[in-house]
Amino acid sequence: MNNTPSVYSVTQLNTLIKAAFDRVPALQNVCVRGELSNYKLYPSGHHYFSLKDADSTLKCVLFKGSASALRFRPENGLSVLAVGRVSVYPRDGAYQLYCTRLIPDGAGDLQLAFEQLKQRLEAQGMFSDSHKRSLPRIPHRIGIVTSPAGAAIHDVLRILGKRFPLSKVILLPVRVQGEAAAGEIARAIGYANQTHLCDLLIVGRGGGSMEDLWAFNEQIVAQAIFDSEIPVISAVGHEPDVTISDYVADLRAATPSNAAELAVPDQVELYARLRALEKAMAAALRRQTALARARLTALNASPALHDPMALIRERRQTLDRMLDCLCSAQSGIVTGERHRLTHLAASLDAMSPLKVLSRGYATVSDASGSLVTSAAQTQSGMLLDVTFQDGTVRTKAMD
Amino acid sequence: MSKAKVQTFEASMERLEQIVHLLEDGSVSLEEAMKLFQEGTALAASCGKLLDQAELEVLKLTRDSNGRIEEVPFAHEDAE
Repeated sequence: MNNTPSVYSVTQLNTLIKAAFDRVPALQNVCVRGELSNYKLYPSGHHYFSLKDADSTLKCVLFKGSASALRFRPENGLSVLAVGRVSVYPRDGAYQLYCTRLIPDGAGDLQLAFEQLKQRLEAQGMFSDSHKRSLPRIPHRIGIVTSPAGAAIHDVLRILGKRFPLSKVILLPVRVQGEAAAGEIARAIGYANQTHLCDLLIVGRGGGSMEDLWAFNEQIVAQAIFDSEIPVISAVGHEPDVTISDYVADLRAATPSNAAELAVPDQVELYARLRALEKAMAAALRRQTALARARLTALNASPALHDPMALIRERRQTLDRMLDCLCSAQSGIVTGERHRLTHLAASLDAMSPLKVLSRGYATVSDASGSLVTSAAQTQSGMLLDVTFQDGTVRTKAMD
Repeated sequence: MSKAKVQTFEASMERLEQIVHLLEDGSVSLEEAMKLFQEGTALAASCGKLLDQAELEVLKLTRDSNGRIEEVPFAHEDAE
């Protein structure tokens, strides 16, 4: 044994220490619980952070490749489980945890990612009712974004066929799980909008684990649904499964079958409505004809139609009455006039000169018939007519 | 079913509702009411017929050999 210590370069020593770390099997696969702090995302795509508990801290790195698998956003203060190996970074002479997986402590990472995205999108107003479009009363063309092989499409088609087979259905086949699913779903929604493919979209899949349904929790799908001009019904999984798509969509269906029920009216109801309308129409017409009949009966019963001569009789009666009036009025007038005449005649009689003559007077008139009222008007030998009560005598003045 | 048929169905239902309204309103003459009734009965029959004869038409989008997207009939087993 040589007591003289070997002289190492720093690099040599750090490398030696690293080798020593790397030989310890227990350090090759560790899982550490701690709280995230000093979390930094570098432009390189690597994540650097520390894990700490009440007394200590541990430096950690999460390389880009592993970081891309992260579903949630690591945030300072978050309690996590970090899985990886512990080794030395020779340049700094520092040991650190080379993290390969970061898992939220407590809830699963998917659950956490879900909550985080939900919170973020909600804050952006993407779930707001003011962005919700109303569904067409009867859709002409229904676009369905789902897997052509899944249970969902068959459920939807079965219900649509049963309820309202008048709508045309266009399937936009996509994968609904796996890495590529979210992108395909988002692109299909975009395509339907660009080409005005349909007036209603159903986006979804059948039931599965949260992992299986994950595509519908991706922001890219949420954004596509939000941007869609075409109303979207989200139909993912079973009743209790709620995805981000459900929140953004214009309407959430509990299941794909439920989406089909919400999409179209039920022809059973439509038949019933048709029958009700027909009934209402017939009833209204019956009422109207009844009304018309009542009017007709009333008219029929009127004397004008019933006994037309009555009208003439009535008129005649009126005429007679008027004639009576006229006659009595006329005779009244005649009687009055007669009275007046008698009266006048009496007055006239009283004033008649003949009356005076009858008392022994006579009138004298000359040959021309003018009255001679004075002796001065006479001459000797003049012919005078003396009129008595009962006749005229020609006389001659004797001077 | 074509888009035109859904439109026909929708328009027919609307006209039918309008006719019922007019008839119930009682403001039209009897002669007009008879005409409306006839029209309404025909509409109801044609709506029913549209539903009766409809069969769900399903198309699938696929890419043809040139990469162009086209609509092809989609076979589905919902016959019941």
